[in-house]
Amino acid sequence: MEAGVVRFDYDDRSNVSGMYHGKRVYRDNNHILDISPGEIWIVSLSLNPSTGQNYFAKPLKRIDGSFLYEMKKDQIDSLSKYLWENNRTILQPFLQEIYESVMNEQIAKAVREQTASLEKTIADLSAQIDGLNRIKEEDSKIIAAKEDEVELLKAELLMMESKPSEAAGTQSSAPRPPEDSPEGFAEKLKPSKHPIIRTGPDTLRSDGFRKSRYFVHLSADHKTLLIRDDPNGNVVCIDSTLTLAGLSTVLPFDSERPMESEYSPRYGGTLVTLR
Amino acid sequence: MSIISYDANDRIMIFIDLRNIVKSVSADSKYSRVDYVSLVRCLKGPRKLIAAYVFDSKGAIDATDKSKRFHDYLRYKGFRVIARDSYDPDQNVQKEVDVAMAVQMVTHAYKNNYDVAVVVSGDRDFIPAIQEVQAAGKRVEVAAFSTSKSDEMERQCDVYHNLDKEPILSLVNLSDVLQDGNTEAVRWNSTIGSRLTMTNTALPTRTGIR
Repeated sequence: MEAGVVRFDYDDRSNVSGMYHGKRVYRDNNHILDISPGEIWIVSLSLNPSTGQNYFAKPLKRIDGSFLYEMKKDQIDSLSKYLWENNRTILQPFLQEIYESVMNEQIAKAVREQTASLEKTIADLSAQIDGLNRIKEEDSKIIAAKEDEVELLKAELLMMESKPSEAAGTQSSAPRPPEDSPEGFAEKLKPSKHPIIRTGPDTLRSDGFRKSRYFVHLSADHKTLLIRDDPNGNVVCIDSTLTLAGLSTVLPFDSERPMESEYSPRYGGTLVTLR
Repeated sequence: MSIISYDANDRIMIFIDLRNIVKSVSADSKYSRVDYVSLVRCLKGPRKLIAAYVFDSKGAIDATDKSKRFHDYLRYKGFRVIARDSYDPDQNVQKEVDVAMAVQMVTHAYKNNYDVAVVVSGDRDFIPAIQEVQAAGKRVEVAAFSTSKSDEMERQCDVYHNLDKEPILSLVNLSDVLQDGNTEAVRWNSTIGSRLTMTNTALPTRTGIR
């Protein structure tokens, strides 16, 4: 008694039979399950005891769609392995043809995703570089202002050293508030490198206006104007000229003339005296 | 010459009575408005700013409150805005605001949250609070415009800042005004209800008080 897989069909004598190891397999007519022609069955085979030339098959399980659905994973794996090992030469070119196109698509998709990710990283890094450059630029301005301040202090020191008696006299007669005095945050102003010229009723021009945007602030007594460059400034600079709406109402325009201006480290900008 | 000197390590808190400032700035500054960030920068100097409070009143929740957008703008800039309910529909009369500001000043003083309090108001109602803060060992500076300054406030404080001389009014570019088509949008008005509308000023990038 052994088990086997047999495909049944009509033979030359119109009997339903199959073949197993070169021997004809006939249905065991005593069995309750009926084998129809064209079906594949797992059968229990018993050799014909009288002739020994054919088998009688007792049907165990029909192999059809439902059988495949009911298979467990390990059964499927075993079946796949069996099919692959015994039919590799047939299956390999067939699968290769299918999966080449699929794999190519997957590879292209992965490359696209990686490229997009790298492009985003590049954009982020560029933004970081821009930010750092802006900080660097601001730091440079602060350093330049501090250096100018130091130079000014050095010059004053030299003057004091060359004229000690005069300096002492000044100090004794009219003591100046210390640098950190709260009286108006006393600070050393210095003349602007580039003169600021009133070119029109509402326009100021200076070669020093090199940035694109500025903040411009006015004191409530209308005597002081502070001009400070800032990327978010609300006054746009075009051709080194600032247009300040309402300036003529604060200070009437008579003719083109330079304005008195000084750089203020405290405000980080140029103070223009309106008179 | 003052006997008081600044220390860069001083921790300061600024308390702005918004109504007092608004009333102080004349309505003839057609193309200018107070830049509160610049105001804080001027008052802060080299010291460490802990917080800048703005005290104001607000309309009823269901009413169209014009001040709300401006409060949001200030919050966006890093200010701590404390807006109390106004019982006057036109917001011409404010309630609770001065007391709220005085309470904050005194509370922070006793919690040792600052070394220097800067009161941006000329209203002498704050004198008792200033005295209490001074009694707690803190320094009090007052900043005010001459038009709204009480002489007693100037006498009471340790340092007085005359805001008339500080360049804190922001000039608005004419092109901005024309583009907006509404000069009123950027105009300071002495009436409270329309004291400042931000219709031409989109919320800028959050730069905070620098």
